[in-house]
Amino acid sequence: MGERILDIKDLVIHYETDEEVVEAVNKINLSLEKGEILGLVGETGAGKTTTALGIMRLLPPKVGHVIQGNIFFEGKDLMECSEKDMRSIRGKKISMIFQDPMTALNPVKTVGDQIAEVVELHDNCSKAEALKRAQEMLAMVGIVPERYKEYPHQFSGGMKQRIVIAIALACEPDLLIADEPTTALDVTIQAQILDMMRKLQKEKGTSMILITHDLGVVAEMCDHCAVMYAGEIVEYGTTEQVFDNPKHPYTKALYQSIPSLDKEVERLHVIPGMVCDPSNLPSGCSFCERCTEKRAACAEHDPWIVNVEAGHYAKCFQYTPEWEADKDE
Amino acid sequence: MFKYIIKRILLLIPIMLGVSAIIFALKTVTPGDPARQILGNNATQEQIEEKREELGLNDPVLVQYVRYIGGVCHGDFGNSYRTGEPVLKEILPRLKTSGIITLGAVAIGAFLGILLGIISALKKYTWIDSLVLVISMFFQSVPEFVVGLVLILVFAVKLHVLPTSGIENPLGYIMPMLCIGLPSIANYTRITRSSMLEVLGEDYIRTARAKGQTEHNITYHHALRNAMIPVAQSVGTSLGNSIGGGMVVETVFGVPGVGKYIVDSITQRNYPSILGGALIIAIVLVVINLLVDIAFVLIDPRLKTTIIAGGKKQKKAKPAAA
Amino acid sequence: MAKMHTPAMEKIERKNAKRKKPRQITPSYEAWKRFRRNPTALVGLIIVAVLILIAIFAPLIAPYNYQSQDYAAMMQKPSAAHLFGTDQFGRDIFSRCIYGARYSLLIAVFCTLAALFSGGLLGIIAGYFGGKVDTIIMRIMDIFQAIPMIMMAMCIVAVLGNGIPQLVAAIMFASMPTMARNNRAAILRVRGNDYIESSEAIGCSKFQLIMKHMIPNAAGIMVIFFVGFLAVSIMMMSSMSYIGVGLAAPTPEWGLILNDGKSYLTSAPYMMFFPALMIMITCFAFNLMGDGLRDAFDPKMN
Repeated sequence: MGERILDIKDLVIHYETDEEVVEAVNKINLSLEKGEILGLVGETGAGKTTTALGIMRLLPPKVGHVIQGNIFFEGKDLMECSEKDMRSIRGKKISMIFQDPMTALNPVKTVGDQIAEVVELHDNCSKAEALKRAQEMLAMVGIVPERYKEYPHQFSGGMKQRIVIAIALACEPDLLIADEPTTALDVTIQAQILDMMRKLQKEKGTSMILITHDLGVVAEMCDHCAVMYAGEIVEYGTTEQVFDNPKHPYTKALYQSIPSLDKEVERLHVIPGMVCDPSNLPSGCSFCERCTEKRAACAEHDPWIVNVEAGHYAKCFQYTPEWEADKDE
Repeated sequence: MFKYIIKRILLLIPIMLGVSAIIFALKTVTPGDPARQILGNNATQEQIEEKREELGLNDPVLVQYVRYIGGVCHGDFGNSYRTGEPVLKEILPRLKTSGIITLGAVAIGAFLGILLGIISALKKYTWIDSLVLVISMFFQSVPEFVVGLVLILVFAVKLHVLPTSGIENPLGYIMPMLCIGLPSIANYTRITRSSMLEVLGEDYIRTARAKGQTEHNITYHHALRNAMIPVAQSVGTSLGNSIGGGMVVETVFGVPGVGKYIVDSITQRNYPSILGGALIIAIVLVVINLLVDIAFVLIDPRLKTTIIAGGKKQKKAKPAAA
Repeated sequence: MAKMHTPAMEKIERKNAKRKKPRQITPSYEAWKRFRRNPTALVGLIIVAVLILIAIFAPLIAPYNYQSQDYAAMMQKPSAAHLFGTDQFGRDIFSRCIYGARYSLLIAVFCTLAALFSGGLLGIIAGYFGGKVDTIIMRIMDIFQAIPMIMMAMCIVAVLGNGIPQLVAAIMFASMPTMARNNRAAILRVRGNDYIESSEAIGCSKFQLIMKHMIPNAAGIMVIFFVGFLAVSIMMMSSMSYIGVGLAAPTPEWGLILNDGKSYLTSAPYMMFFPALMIMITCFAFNLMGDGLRDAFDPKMN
């Protein structure tokens, strides 16, 4: 398809404190094409948000470190950019929608000012023009433009999320990172927000990374899907490939844990065990302890990423020739 | 808003009744006869009896109390035992002097304190942060009167640039202001620092960064105003402390303010003056706190709705750690 | 997963290797660990310890009796014989300051304990029972608070007269509203935690709840008040003594020594310098310690 807009190569991110080092993201590779929506799925703590913050270069200062890797955005390595260049990219080229709309807006500024702020910063226009643009944006996300003079506390949660989206889209970014945009909202509002985001994405042709732990959202919205576990991407493919033909044991287990309407089941399937401690990762496969298909070698060696079918990858020994050979013994 | 202000002013009534009751209670248990105190040791028994009758001291305490409260309602705070002048007339001119000193002191303390607080929040965990903390804590550890003594020694005795005492010369205000202001720095520094750090960790600061905003604008346009809310809240309490500190400092510098008036009255057991002073300070404190609360609404728009609704100040929900 | 090795990780590994055996990690041990890592707090602790030793061994340290007057050596500048000089009665100021540590610290501890018990009790009652009890107690405290602390204390001393027990009572009464307010806030904070509700749910009695869950959890905050208030009471005490209310003359309390030197500020500033220094050092040490404790018990606040 089209050209690549984002290319993450061997990205490693650690959180370092006096007490421990948390290996939040471990050598992930990911790429995104123009106009594509990529779903990033995984449990809490899998490193999804860290990856997003890494792309924005907004990791918590002094604690979060990019240890190695490159992030190419439109051919330019973001890791090499100066802070000043980064500032001109944030909000303009890449923007981000944060998890919790309740706290993402400054309580002492009017919503109009907050939307206008990003326009003013990047579009080189007067305050009045920026405010006009802010009102247009409010109308676009379905809020009466006259309410631009109001403060965040006067809006409901769903409306605040619309405002956050308006801020993110105000400068028509090339890449939008949405970090669990609907998690904090009611189910009915979730659908509205997702519909709106998809509509806006189609109109502007924006590329998007959608971070979520809701598989339904991914199935509905995304072209591609990457499953993250313990800071690694364990499976990647088109949404159809990953959903209809999951390869990695973790992905399979994930599907089994979703309640199904068709089948009568007494108890939901639970993935046994706990997510491994990211400050003390095992030397073998990180999913090995919870895996139902594991073998002795899994605990010793870390599997590599295997191309299981065209455009479909999984990080598991099962799909290597050695696995079959091992079985024969 | 209007209803809220009226409600707050009505709150004054129980406080004033309570304050006067406390002082009245203290007065009745104090050993010694005020009449003898006024007339001196040479007075005859008849003279004293006459004076007691005149002051109404022979009536039951409760009657005296009710009579006093009745007087206060008409703006009569009683007459000073020592001069025989109405207390209110004595206090009002002194209130202005004390007011200037207190406001100056709060301005000095708040300005330096907030400045140091911002610096230490921006340079957190560096040696600058520790230095600021130690300096502000040092000032907090010096009683007002000791600051006064040091200032007198340096500026009045050695350098001869400021008068040792009195306020005949406007320069005389400077040292009392510094004395009350400097020890209050630590309070402001601490509150500004922790509030600033908390605000800088908020999600909306990350939103501002994600917009591509510069760190400078994030600090001064996004964080500072939010961080000032608890700081402004502490101005009210700080004013109360300053009035207390004013009592000692005005005595040290011989400034004719309310504080010195009350200290003198206490040592002379001049109860009408103590009562009048305490009531007027209570009124001033309540009014100041009201003004501070009204000022909040200007800083924090969230309060407008709650205050108009008459509810309590809403506590901001803590965002769950990301 | 192929492990990445970074300098930070190696540092921590080295640190972990040095640790002999893992200690049981209790909240108070955690707090002590944080306190120990804070250099300013440690300095405060050391100064306080030294002051306490001085107070205990005052008779051994002081070269002269704090009351004995020596008319042959009046108003002497600091020298080898009289480290801090002598006052207008020829009393050795060094000895007076040393004994002053005894008086000032002891009175401060009494004041603080009294204030914590009276105000603290009211605060705990108000915070625990809530509702009407809370409203009544706190309204009364509001009234007390409308009178500045030091004015209240001075009025009480005016009624009771000068002397140590009277001073303790005065400071106790004056600080009651602040103490009650702080302790109430501490209890409310603990009370708001889910574990209190869950212990109520599993059928803890009220007494058990207060003793086993609330007091231990609020203890950290109360220790902070205690240390902080030591500095406040020393400052209040010396301020009052300095303007002549509070303690009676021969007591070598620092504020009183300052009061003695008042008239000689220009001619013999050393007479006031040393007692003022003692007050400053003591309050500074308590504040440093209190601040360290605040950070240690409440890491979130920093």
